[in-house]
Amino acid sequence: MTEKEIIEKTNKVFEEFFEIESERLKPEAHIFSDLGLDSLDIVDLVVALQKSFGINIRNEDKIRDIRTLQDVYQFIFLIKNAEGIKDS
Amino acid sequence: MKKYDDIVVGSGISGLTMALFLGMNGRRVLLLEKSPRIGGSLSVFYKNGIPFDTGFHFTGGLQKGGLLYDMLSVLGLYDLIQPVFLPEDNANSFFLESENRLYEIPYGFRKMREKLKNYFPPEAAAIDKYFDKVLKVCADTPSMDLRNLAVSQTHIDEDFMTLEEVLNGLTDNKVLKALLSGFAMCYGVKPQEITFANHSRICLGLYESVSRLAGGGNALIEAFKKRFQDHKIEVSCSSYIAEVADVYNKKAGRFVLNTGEEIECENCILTIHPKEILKLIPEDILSKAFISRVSSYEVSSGFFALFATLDPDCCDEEPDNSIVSIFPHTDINQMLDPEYKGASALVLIRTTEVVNGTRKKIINVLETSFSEHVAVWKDTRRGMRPQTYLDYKKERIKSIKERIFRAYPDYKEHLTVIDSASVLTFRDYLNSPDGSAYGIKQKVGQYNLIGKLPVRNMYAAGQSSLLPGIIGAMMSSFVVGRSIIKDEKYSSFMNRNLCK
Repeated sequence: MTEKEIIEKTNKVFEEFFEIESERLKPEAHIFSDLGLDSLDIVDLVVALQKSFGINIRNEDKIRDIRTLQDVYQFIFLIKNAEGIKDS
Repeated sequence: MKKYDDIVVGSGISGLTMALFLGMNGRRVLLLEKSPRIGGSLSVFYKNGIPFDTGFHFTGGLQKGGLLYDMLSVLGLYDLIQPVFLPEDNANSFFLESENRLYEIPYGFRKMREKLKNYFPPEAAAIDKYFDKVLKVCADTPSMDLRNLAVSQTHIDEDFMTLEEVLNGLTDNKVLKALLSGFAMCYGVKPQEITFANHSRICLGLYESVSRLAGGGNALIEAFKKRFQDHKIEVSCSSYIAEVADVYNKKAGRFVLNTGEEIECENCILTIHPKEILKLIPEDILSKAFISRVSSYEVSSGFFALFATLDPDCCDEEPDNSIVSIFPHTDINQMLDPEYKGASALVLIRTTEVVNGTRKKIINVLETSFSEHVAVWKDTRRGMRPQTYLDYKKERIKSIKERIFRAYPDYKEHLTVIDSASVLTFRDYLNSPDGSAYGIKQKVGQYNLIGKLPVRNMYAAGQSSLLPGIIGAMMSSFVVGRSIIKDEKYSSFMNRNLCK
């Protein structure tokens, strides 16, 4: 999966599941202060990302480090990348 | 407007635990129950003067130092109940109809390993590896220790492996695999869907010991009632929250009951089914992500139940209390599939109770069943169902009896069916939205609802929150209770009440 595809799909999750307008979805946007999520929305975000990308996301420290949208892209990228390595 | 520190909604084992835990920690608590009496699936019902369990039949972890023993002790309940341990050597038997063979399984890790190795000598290594893995998962799960419970559950590798995957990696022996996954009937999820981690966490208690309570679940309800008096916990039956009002900054200011009464409180803990939680929270504050997450939860299995007695002089060689699972074959996935049409798993729970001075032999028979089996009558209510439904029940009772008599020919002249219940009966009698026995289905990669909800002074707990069954439901209340009273208070509460 390319970085572009990951960005598009992630943004779609924010648009569809959290009803955030696409123009607000900038990589540097802070998911809490700019996009209005709170720490407890993270579980819902994780579940939505799991469904959308067809992946399993572990509840671990890396999730708690997520601050910006770019962090989310990066987080998914790492999981997808790890999957690719495992498959090949 | 009445004021409380906390309201607890639902008085099944989780709500009872939650209310008592908070009350013992000095909080002013109101417990709400929709039904006319408290207890939920713990309740025992009487027919012809004979007590029958509805949702709580037996449990693990009640031996000294076990998780359930600890939880009940901490709450001051243990001394108020009387555990009846099933015979160690043959508490659980599995009768495989396809093999026409009975496997008697003891409890206690050492005994289980030994017995299974006797049955399957070439599988000795696989058997050891299996139990080692179960123990390791539980040791790696901090929340299996009452002092370390936390809302945020950190996943381990086994949270992403199914029971089936692990068993397939250990052995090709289908009978052994069926016996090791046989306890799936205690959580109602297929081996190909349950994680190995959750399977292990649920089975740990049952591998340590198997017991029931003298007087069934009612004994526990009575124990709670006594403790509620000690801690001035108020209980209101036939009441529920009709409206969550004045939601501001994601916090509810007021709760309106069905009686019209209005209540102000710091926290509201919902120990009800996630589907009911979704209905209760004002929709405009829910994200689509939350709605989609909760809506995607699936249903665990339920049961078709026969409530029967055995003549007093029959079958004296059998233990007073024991469990026999009759499996038609070794494919547990199939037996837990709503679409499956063949003979399913039957669990016979044999108990004795003294009724008016006479010993009664009671048999509760549970056959796995699903709401799909009774979908055509889903809009009907108890006592008003059509003849076709009654015929369905009659047919099912007949086939269950035939299978019991094939396994136990001696019962033929001595077994009397007193009553029966379908998934719909359970749904309506126990106020369980889909009639399932274990709440939502626990699946790989699933994030359950536990702790704070989108209205941040509302919380979720219950058997759908952590793990199914009495232990999981109680644990969820300790977890959420801890987050409400905060760590420091929790630690000193445990230090005061948990003697080790």
